[in-house]
Amino acid sequence: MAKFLRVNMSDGTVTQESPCEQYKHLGGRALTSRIVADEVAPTCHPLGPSNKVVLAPGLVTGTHAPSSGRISVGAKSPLTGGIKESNAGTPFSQQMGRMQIKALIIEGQAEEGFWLLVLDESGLRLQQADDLAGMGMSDVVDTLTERFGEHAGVMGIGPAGEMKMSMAGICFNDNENRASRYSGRGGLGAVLGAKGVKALVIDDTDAPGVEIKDQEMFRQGTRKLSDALREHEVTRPGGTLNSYGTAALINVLSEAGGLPVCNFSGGTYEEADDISGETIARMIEERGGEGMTGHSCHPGCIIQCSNVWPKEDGSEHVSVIEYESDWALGANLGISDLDAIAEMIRLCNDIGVDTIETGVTLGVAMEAGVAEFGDADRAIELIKEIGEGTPLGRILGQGAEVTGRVFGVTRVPTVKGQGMPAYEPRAVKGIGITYATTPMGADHTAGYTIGPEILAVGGEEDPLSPEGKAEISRDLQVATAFLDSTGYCLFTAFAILDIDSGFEGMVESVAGVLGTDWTADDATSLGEDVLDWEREFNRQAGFTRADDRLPEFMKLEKLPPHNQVYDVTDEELDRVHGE
Amino acid sequence: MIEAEVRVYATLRQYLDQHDRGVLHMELAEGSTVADVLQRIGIPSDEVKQVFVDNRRAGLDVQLDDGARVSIFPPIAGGLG
Repeated sequence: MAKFLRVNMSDGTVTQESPCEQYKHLGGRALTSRIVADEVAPTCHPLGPSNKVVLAPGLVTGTHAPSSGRISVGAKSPLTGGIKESNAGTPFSQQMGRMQIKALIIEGQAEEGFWLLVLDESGLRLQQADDLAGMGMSDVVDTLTERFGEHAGVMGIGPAGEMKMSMAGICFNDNENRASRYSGRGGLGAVLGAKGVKALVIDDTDAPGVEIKDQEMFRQGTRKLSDALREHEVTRPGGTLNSYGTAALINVLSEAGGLPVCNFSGGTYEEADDISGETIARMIEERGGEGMTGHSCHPGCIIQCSNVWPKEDGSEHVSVIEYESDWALGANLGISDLDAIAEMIRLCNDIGVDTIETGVTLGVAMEAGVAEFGDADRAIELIKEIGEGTPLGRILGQGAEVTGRVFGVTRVPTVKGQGMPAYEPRAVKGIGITYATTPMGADHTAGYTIGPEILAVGGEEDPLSPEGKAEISRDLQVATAFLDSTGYCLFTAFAILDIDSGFEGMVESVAGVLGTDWTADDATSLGEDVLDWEREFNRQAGFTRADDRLPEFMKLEKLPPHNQVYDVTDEELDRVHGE
Repeated sequence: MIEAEVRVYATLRQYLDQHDRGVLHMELAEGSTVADVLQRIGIPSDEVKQVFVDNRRAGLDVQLDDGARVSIFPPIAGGLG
């Protein structure tokens, strides 16, 4: 039977519950957001005892459905002050799914010290974890897999989470037990740290597996979806995602004039190709050794877009150099040395911070003169300071908005306190609408208009025109809220937006697990509900229309090469959610 | 004659002689189009998903000005991670 597990860190009690009716058909983001909305006071301090961390695998996660190993983590965010869901691809999620744990709710606050949670079929136990405190995530995963075996999955926080930094993420193990898969955004690592949880080990030995109510429907659905993923030119084996990884986007965005450079002061990067997916793939091949493209973050992925970057001698340096990290710590800082970028990603993974927020923060710090744009050595030192918790590191660790305020910088690319990802709104108008209006703060994944605006996937739109973009952003936000609830990777969207039977198959696979007769309309309706719950939480937390705006500098400063300001009107932004 | 800087990306670099960085400096007749560039290099147009001319998305029939930068891509996605 599907269950909720609840651990109270204030008194150490663990309870098992049967989910009530209203939660029965929810998973992933829908479930984390519903539980946070139901149980967390919107006005609570994100780092206090009233906040809760909710983990939920997607509805099909743990089954054989392709590319479905996502886990959602929800809480009130210390970075945005609003509701947050951040998801990651990891075998950890599949173990949770197979153990039929629909949600794990971590509440209260430990009086002192850090704790390890051990979760297996006999239940959940708390162990003192003073030996793990202060440890980087790489050592945490190594220590725990040695102690609990290679099969154990690990979730945890690095020193940044222990120090309750707003850029701290929650780390999960990858397929080969690297500390590399992050629910990075929104400072959820700080919330876990505030509760006194350093790590959680999961072992699904003897787990019953995901209950599938209608096997025939499920099989039919997963077959259609698999066919679509294998057929579509970007998701298929040997397609661009598989061959070049997500950083294949670097050159496209730069050529479109929409790659933010040197803290959002330009839209094209002269050295783009030096850090591109093409160059990453070429150098991995040339260096040989332990490097690889076509790496997967969890078993059962058809797309396999991850990579392992090797040092010059072929030994492993880091996994993974993906587009957002590559941009944030590369183009956004004027740094074009892939080995330096790899080292920064390795440090972020170990310290336990979001690579996007780190890169955006360093961009603001460089703007303030803390370092020169292009100075990779200094950038590496600054990330180390975050991990060491020096006074400067503590400031940077609170993210771009705080850093901008401390240093008197006005060019601070954030929405709701969260740093913008790798797409410049002045050159790609629709993505700015998503940044402004998603409940998550500046988040590209929340409604990826880059598909139609830049990649010509799911339609073709002029990126420089504001026309019709409110509807496009809204529809994608709804579809994404559904997708984030299924456990399917967002990249499946590239295939299902273009291939109708793929989308049908996705909905059928979910309906098969739940034993419902869901159609596309039900998927849309769930997505709309999720956005409503999240927006209502934010409203009660004090958010208004004024928070659904881009920073003022984007309306004042023209961005080369198109020399445009952000010209989507406030009325248009407010139209997205029908207000 | 006009000159154009042509940049070829991802899988399309297989059609170049020196596919290291995919940058070509080409001399073309006045009035040449994006399609003419593809034909000169030998890139099948059905493998081209999109083209940017001077940072704007362009169709195959777009005529090139002297000094144009032409960027040619196969289907690409990514970056949601």
